Amino acid sequence: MTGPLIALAVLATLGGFAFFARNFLALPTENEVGTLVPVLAIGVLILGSASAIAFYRNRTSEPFDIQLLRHKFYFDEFYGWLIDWTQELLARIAAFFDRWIIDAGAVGGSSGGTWGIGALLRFVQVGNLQAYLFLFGLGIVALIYFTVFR
Amino acid sequence: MLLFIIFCPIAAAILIMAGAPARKTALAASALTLAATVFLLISFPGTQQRDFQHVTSFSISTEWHLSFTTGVDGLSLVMVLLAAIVTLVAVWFAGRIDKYENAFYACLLFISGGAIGAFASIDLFFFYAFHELALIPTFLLIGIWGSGNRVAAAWKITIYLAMGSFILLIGLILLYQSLPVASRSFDIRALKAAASLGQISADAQRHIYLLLLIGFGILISLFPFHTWAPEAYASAPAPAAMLHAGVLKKFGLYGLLRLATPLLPEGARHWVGLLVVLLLGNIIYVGLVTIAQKRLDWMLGYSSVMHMGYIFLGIASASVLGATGAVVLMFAHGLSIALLFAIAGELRKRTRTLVLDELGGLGKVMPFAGLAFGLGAFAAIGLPGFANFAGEIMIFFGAFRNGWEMERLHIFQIATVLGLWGIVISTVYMLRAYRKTFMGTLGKHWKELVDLRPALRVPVTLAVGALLCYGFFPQPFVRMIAPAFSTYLAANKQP
Repeated sequence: MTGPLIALAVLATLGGFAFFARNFLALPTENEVGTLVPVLAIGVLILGSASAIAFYRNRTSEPFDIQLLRHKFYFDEFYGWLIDWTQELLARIAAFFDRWIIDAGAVGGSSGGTWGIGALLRFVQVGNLQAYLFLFGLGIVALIYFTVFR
Repeated sequence: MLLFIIFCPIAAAILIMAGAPARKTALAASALTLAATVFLLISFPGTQQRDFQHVTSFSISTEWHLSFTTGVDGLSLVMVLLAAIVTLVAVWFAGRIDKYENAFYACLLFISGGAIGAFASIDLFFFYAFHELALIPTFLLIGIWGSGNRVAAAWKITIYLAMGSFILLIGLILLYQSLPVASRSFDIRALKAAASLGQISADAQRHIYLLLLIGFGILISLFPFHTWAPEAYASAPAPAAMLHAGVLKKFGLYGLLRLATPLLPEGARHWVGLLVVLLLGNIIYVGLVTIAQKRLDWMLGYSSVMHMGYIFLGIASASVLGATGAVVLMFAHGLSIALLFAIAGELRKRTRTLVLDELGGLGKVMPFAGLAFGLGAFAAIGLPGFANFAGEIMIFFGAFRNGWEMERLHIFQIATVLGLWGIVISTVYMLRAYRKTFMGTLGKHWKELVDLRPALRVPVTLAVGALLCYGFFPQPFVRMIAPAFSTYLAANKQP
């Protein structure tokens, strides 16, 4: 497994140098070469590497027992908390809304309403001829009222 | 050749109903259909071909200008190819059916024949009729061979999709009626010619487009008309879910691309704001709902709904790049969701549960199933190398530099950024489902589970191979599809 890592490390090291990158990219031409940033970056790299070697060489345990470092600046905990209170909370609210407002409320409501109206209309179908004649007569009276008197 | 592709599954379905051996006939018919489709694809002339090819026409009624006319252009050929591949994969995965085996396989083939017929129809009447032919067996498959709350799910999808089809039918009738009597025809080419001459008034376009958007939208599970989909797919037998989510749902998207946008550009312009809001409902709202799912089948059902949002974004963008990306994603999503439902179906056969908290560690006893699901999940997320990535990247670029006037429609740039958040959301739910199912500690009661049988490696390889092939080399698809849009998307820009 170290082979691919070595290959990637070599490429990553060479990738920043113009003589190598020029083979793959059209590099912009710089009018003025800045020195401060590269010097600072390489200085920090050397300092960090030297400190790591000094503190960790031939050690099997952490050289410093600092809570903040042991928890990696609490980044994972903060990330977990953030996701739980943003994306996960939104997901739970959206799932509740989808289940109870859209599906059960709007869709189930219109479905239930249709069934309810059907069930109510069933009571009108009593099978009694006199009742049908009465409703028919009532309809005619209403029709005359609305067309003639209104 | 095209007529053979349409009628081969239908003829096989009739033969199976008449008593032919179900599985063997279905496998032979779907393999023949795929072989003929690949031949059609290879022989498709030119890459800048805008006209329909392999056109066959039989007059039904001269008075009504009604004819059975079929043909393919780049757009419909990709859809036919999708239907042919998913049919073979679905039939292969179906296996032995305990009750009414002949009817089960006949239903699968009717769905396939109906979908292919709808994609290949140039006549509006048969475009609609073939879709109905495919829809009815879907209801039967869920109601008879489904699991869980199958009867309620079957009723729900039936009422929902029948309502969608009804609204769509009203829209199509109004479209026919909106033309002057002399120009009235069911032929999509004639309708397109009449529309390009401005024979459909702007007012009519606005009304009809809304009806088509709602009608097709219900069939596609556009937010907020989406709640039928997860329940139906969770209750459906795996091959039915594969065919519906993978192929038949694409009919609505195909209809928007084939009819609504080219024939009713003013309507598309008028309702584009509404469409963008609704598609963001698919991407963000449904995406969040997907994260909260506790069952694998429901998660896949919701994820299928969520991904429709990206395809809508490509269609709404009114750019050749976006619309072409939408078609590439339709193809890619069809294959990836079919693969995921196939593996979920195999898991359900073995474990009798798809509750994520009850699964775990299955990759140890079912390594090939884990690999296949992982590849399907990576494709669905849109990882580079899969056709889904090619489709999504085209949609994002197409939507950001959309075909509308930028000073009025900055909403597309917001939608594109929110769409990118959707990629994160889909990564969360897919990887979480994969971890909960295949990684972690293996439960004691799952130790005796067996992996997919070796024969099932063929359909998995077919689906993954097509996804990778068009992921690494999407250019042949793009060159074939893009000419279908270049004419009318240019017309959209006219004031």
